[in-house]
Amino acid sequence: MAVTPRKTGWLQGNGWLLVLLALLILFPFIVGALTDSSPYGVARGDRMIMRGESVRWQSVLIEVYILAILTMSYNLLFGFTGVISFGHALFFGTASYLFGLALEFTEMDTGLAIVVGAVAAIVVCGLLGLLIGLVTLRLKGVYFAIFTLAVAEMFFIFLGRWQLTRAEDGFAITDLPAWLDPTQSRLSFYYLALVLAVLTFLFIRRLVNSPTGAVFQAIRENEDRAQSLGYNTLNYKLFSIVIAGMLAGVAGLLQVMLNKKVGPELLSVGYTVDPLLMTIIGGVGTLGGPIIGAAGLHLLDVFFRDRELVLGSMTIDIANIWALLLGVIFILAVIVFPYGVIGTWRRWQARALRKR
Amino acid sequence: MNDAILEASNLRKVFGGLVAVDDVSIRIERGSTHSIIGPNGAGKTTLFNLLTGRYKPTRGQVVYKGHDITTLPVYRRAHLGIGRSFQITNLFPNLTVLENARLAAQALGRDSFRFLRRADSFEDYATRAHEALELTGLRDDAHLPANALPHGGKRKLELAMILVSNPELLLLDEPTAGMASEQVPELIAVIDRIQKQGNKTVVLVEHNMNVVMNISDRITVMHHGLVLSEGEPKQIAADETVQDVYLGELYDLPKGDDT
Repeated sequence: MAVTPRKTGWLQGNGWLLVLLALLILFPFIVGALTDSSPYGVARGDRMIMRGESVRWQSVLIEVYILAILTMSYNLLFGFTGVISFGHALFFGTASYLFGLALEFTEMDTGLAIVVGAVAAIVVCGLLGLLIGLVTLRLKGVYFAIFTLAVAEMFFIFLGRWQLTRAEDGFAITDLPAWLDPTQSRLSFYYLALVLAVLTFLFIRRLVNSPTGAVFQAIRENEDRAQSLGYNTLNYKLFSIVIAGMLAGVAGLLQVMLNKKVGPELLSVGYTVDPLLMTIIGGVGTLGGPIIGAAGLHLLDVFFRDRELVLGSMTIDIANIWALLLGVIFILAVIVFPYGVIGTWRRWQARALRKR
Repeated sequence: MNDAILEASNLRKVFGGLVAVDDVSIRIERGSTHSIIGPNGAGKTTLFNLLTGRYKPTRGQVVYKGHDITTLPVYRRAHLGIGRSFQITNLFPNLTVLENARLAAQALGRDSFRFLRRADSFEDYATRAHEALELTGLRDDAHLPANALPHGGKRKLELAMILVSNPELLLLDEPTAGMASEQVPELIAVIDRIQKQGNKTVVLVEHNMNVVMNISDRITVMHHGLVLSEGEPKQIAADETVQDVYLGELYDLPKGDDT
């Protein structure tokens, strides 16, 4: 967690990361070769239809990357700065609405609308973070969390009734260019999501190991003490929430392109709770934790959700009891990995080292 | 001639219905070691928090080096050269000992918003942190998490952090609290060393009478939120009112120099 001096070369220090990255880059082709399906989809006339195992698994991983970005952003605020927000979905959903509005409700041509929409979404997410932080970061812990929940729910309810964006139904995104449209070219979108997830990881790692990140962690550990050393802690918490908001916005942009649909469900509390749980299970305040948490929970969901459980003569549809199973998994995970997967593993490592 | 580094006048602090500090005026001479003593609940720690800016006074004024700092927040006072330690050990528990000290060095620099460079590439801060750990005897523990230190080690780390930020005015809230008595002289030696670094002023809240009588130039005795008496250690030791309300009841005052 703390800053440790770098003794090995960059390549050596990032060995595992590079192996993982290479695997993920080759993933669509590996799945394609294993299942005898094309990573580009199936050709029909001059169009490509997004069908086949490789394409299907690409979208599963795209969802993992989106959740990983969202969770890394959540962990920056919660795990490294110690600020618990219950309103993270606000950033996620706001970004997707702004992007959708720029594309579908303005007269700009598509390329311009994409750039304007994406930039506006990220800037507004940062401003929203600043605003919420200015009003509420003087509040401590739970009070701050409740306030963020209230703001997010307020937007959720408003967007559920706003006639312009078709209220609860939301609206579809129709004119994405082919290379950005997962229904026309899944593979290029897969790489876009992967690149953004990797950039987010590298950015957060650099930030956390910077002087600013050191202050974030000092605030998490002991805010009073950080102040008496001379840090204006409010400014650092604001900075953290602005960055986290913008990164959650990036995740929201990807989500809206993947689904090609904008609706109030993108602001629902699920998009706050999921990253919170993924952070806790992966390891609060670790760099890899959010990625492991996001991948683990989402893959579990994909593997089990549509299966059936046969108990003697009874057949149980797992979809019906999925929430219950997930609850059990959470409880087990928290018992086995009290500090998250990464945090607990580190402790085991440290103990093994001490014994030697 | 005004040679007070810190001067507080008519300070009053009320919590709800409780008057913690009633009406206190205190003058700290530059370069002196000034102790504040008094029975539990006398308002020592509250006074301390008024001086460091953690609390805003209900009434009264705090002047530091000729500037009114009554309403300045804690972090601004730190930049003016006021450093404090805490009665309860108050560290960054899961960060390493070195990182605790390094954060103290970084706090008074101007690089804390350089978020795209690695923190350990700012060598000046790391060097100052290492020096302070050396001076306080924590060098070998630099890479332990702070909460793995024994109690005495934590108190030393507190002092190391103050040493790093190199304040002109040091406010120490019971630095020997909870320490085994054989460790106390070592800590006093560290305080001495800090003082000798420059022309430093130390304000001390302390229960250990041996420490107070030994290192103070002046002593202020508080009782029920008021200043009961003030003077040099010998005067205080001889003061009958002080003995009645405080020293006589609770402590065996060391007579003469049998410390």
